[in-house]
Amino acid sequence: MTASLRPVMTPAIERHLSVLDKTRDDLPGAGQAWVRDLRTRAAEALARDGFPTTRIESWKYTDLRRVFRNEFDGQAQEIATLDISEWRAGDAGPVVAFVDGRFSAELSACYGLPTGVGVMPLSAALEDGENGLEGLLGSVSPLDSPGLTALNTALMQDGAFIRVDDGVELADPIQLLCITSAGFAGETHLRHVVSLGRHAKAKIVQGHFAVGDSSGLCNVLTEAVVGEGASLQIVKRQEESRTAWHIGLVQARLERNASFESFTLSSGGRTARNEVRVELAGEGANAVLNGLALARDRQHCDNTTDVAHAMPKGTSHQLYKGVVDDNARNVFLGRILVAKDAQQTDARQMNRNLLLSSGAQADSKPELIIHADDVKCAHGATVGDLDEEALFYLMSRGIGAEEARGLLVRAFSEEMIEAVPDDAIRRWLEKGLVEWLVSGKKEEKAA
Amino acid sequence: MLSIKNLHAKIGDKEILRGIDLEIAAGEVHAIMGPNGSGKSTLSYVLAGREGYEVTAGEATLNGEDLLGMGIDERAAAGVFLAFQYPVEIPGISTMSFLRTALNSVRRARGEKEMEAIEFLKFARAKAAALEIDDKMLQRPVNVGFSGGEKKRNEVLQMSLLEPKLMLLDETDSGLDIDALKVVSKGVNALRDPERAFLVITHYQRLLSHIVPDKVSVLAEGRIVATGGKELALELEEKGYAAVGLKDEAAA
Repeated sequence: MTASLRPVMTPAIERHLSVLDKTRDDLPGAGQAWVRDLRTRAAEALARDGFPTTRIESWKYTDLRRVFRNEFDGQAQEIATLDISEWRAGDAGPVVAFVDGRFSAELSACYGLPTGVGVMPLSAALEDGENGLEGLLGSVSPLDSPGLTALNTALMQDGAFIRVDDGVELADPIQLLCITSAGFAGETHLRHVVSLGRHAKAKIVQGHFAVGDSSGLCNVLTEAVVGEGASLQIVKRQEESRTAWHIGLVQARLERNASFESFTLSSGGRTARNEVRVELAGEGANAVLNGLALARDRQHCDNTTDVAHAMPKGTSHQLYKGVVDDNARNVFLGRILVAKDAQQTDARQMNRNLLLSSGAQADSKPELIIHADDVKCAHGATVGDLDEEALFYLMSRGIGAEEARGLLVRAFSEEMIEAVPDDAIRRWLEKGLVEWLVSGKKEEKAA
Repeated sequence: MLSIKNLHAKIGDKEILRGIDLEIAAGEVHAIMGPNGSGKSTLSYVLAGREGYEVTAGEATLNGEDLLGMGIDERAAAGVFLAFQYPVEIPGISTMSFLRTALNSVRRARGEKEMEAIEFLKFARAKAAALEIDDKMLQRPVNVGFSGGEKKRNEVLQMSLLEPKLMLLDETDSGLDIDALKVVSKGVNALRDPERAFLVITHYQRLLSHIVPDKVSVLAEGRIVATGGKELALELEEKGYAAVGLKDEAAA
């Protein structure tokens, strides 16, 4: 897809290739031929394709040159004791914790898993040849998508490898908590690999939190295979430091009658990209992609989706909202592809933005490519400020202007969160929203 | 209680109120009738403080306090309550939490103690039951999916919780069937009190046979052109606005 764009060997690419050369023998899986080979092919893909530029549709509004002109030279810290309870999505479910991109056994709590469920750090899984990771890793996120997938594959250090066997249903969420230490200035390449067997069910929460200010780059990729009739939910809360960079991709392939649901709550990072790509590879698959972007100050938040309907009778519903304050910018790029065979597809997409200040900006761009003739496709976008009528109504009941505005911002956001059925996950998301609202008030007072 | 003197107001370049003089004493129900576009709703909006209206002359005081200099929320705290003709739907805020936020805002402003969640729940439920509002309705987002009658009952519920001094009822009868009208009127009548005043804006006599006014004024072209007792409303119903010397508006 990038054939027409001439690859450029930028200093950033050279730097990363040389990192791979220097660390190849220390990276996890160095003893496995298939892992070494995969890293080599990934490096070649990166050298060949380079990083995506803004001339590529899905990167139109987020310029990676701004990210990669930083050298991200920094060492990961080891934190043995840290209270991560405030970041957990409830007390139930296994916790797999990472600090600066590396698995932390001390902070993790991975016990009591039902039979038929495997959760292990990717670093360990890459070293161990007998677990089915070979052939799975990279099968949903191949090296032909430009730049960051190749970079992630070449340099992946850690992540979680999650397998749920046929028919096994997991009630509690598997919690992947990625924590950035204070002052961290390096680069992390996390890779989560998820495989759900036929009619399996699982929920995964993926949290990105920061202990203090940091200036590093997190490049996290989650790839998931959702088997026939299986159901997977991935809920992400991204609260990196506002001086850090975050690039995330969740990519899923859905087999026949599989369901996939994602929710992305993104409020952190100076530049944050949260991409979700779903391929409805089997008939009757169902995808729900929801997202809430909260941006203020000079933050840049990019939510990009790519939903590919390959087979008939699939449904996909997307609802993304953005609350943009100060001089922040929110981007939504939503691509829907309906292949020739994907008859009776029902694909919907909606993006709503609330601009809270005159300097705030929202870009919304749908891209629908439809090759089948018997389909329902709908998309829409709105950009507006707070409803004056509602504001008057609240204030006429005695509620002060600031509180009334806060209530309406919360209501706009809450509408999405309250639709999340799992209690623990809903509360976890709500906490993220409330913290964002409260921190805004504090900043105003400080200013 | 409410004293309006020579009130002029405009929207943009258009003058809507052209010198309103109106006195409403405590305990009084004063109905305002008048043709479409005469400025009835504008009067209620100007008193409630809605943005977009510019007061160019005159004054309005509530118990001697200058209303026009206050913010919207300050007027509510001072005791002004506007019952909306079209109550606003607010998805994402539950009715219960809206009511509590409103009540506690008003109590704070009046120097009273805020109400705890459980105390409030009891208080609100009792008030709601009198208006035939059930718990389910209180859990739903503010006015979202409410029928016309439910919306108006919700307005009266807010009124009874906030205990205002001056109630502005803007075409409260619009969108109500006869049963809903009875429930709403009953709720309003229960709030009649020697310490409170009502300004009831309506097109029709129908509402005034349920909420019986002490006085009726006719507003036309931004001025009050006639004032009388409750029988004036009946006369208007029968003869149209020609009864007070206005050119009759056939449909009004």
